[in-house]
Amino acid sequence: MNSYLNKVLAIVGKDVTSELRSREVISSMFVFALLVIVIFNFAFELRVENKEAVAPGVLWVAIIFAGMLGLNRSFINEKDRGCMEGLLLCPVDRSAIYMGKLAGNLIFMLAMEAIILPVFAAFFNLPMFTPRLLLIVLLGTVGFVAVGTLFSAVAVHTRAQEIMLPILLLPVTVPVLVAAVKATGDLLSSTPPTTEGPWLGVLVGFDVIFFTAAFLTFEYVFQE
Amino acid sequence: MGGILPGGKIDMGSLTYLFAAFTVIWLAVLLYSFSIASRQKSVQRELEMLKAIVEERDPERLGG
Amino acid sequence: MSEHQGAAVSHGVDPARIARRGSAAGQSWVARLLPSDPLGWLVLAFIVAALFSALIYAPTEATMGDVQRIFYFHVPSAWVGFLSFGIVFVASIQWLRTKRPWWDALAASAAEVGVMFTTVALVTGSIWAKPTWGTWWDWDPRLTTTLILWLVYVSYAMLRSMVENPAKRASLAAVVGILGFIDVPVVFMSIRWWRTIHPVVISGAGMDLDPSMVTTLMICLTTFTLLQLHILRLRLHLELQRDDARRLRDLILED
Repeated sequence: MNSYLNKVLAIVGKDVTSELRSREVISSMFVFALLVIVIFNFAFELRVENKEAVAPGVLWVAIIFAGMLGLNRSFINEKDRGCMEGLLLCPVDRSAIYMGKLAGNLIFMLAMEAIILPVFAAFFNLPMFTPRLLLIVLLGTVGFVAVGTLFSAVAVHTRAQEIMLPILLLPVTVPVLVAAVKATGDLLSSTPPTTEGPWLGVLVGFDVIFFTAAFLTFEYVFQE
Repeated sequence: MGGILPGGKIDMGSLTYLFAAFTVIWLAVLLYSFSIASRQKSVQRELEMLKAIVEERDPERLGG
Repeated sequence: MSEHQGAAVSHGVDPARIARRGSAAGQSWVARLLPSDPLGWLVLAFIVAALFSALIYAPTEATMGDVQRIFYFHVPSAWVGFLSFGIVFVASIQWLRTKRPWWDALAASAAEVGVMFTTVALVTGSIWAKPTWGTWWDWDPRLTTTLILWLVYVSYAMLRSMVENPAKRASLAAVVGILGFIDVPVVFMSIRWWRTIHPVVISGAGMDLDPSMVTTLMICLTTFTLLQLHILRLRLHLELQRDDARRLRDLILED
């Protein structure tokens, strides 16, 4: 148990320290999210009247597309630098790699979100920092990263690594997108719905189901 | 609801849609079956060729 | 001298399978088209029955008219699409558990067959939607989930085409197949809730079904299931032969 935790922490620590040095992942994710928001402004001619309808969607598209940037790099960097073999040689359960990578990806995405949310709040003039909304963002991110970490490991073994991740990930994470956008919309709306939607439940359910499934199947991605 | 006349009935032009749908289904099934069959033929040819090469190198048949 | 034999067998090549159907190469194209076994003839018979029941036996629907008959082929196509992915799911699990190549061949075959039927389901659903609802597409739960299923299939197929090593390809595909299948009900439920909270003008199928229509639907469901099994069997045979060819090629290149 101890060595498992140690390995997980070692992986997280490695990713975080290398990121702290270069800061390339979080900054590129943030810039990309920002760009998405700006582009959407022109694409949808966002005005004060319709912003409430469009805002949740814009936020989550930005988060998801920026998130995929970060996910892509989590395993590609390993492969490029030749660290993969080192990781795989350690005599610990392969799922430790999953946990470590998952934690690292989660930290990066949450860090990016911490920066993009205030920006988003300013652009749209919406109250973003209620506890419920932050919970939604957290749950959505967890679900996305749970599947994304697994699929980025899968994608890294293919010829077109960077293209395969979105193609694999987007269809499967549709429930996250649906629930997160709906929940965010309900929370930000000036006319909240009378009955609370099941979105929180959907997010929790998705997170539990897919974390479990990803955790169990991760080892097969690296079998010889 | 577009396409439905006031009385509830649909105009006969909609039989075109019925025809289109049926054509899609059976064409798809047929074309796919043909695709399998033609791929089958080429794999068959390749297998026989490979079999011949292996037998050529080795007097013993492949156990068949 | 039996070293080659042994090598061939140890590579997993089944000599009997290669020898079988070798005579098929000489048949005329007509002979190859006709069913060569009882299941094939059964499928043919059911297709005739399905066509009769859907086009003649079933009564014309009250509000939609004859266009509604598309339903008898659209629903079974979608059902077969889901069934195929269920087969991919089971085959993927079994491959990961046993590592027997037959399971991976089954997964690959079922996925391809499934894409075909799901595409048919989407297209026929679209053709049915136009005269019924006035629009080619609607984001209703069933159609949307079918679209997502189609996308998962396609991503599965793309993944398979991007990995060279057969064992690796099988394992990676299996992981995606498993997660993809689990995802389908989750997608359906979330989109269902998405729609009912904000009801839209275009509602569900809204048909008056009488017993003879249900019978027709059952006949058509059975027909499509049998058709799928038949096509799947053919496709699986093709896949297994491809595997044999590949192993023979490896065997030859080794020398």
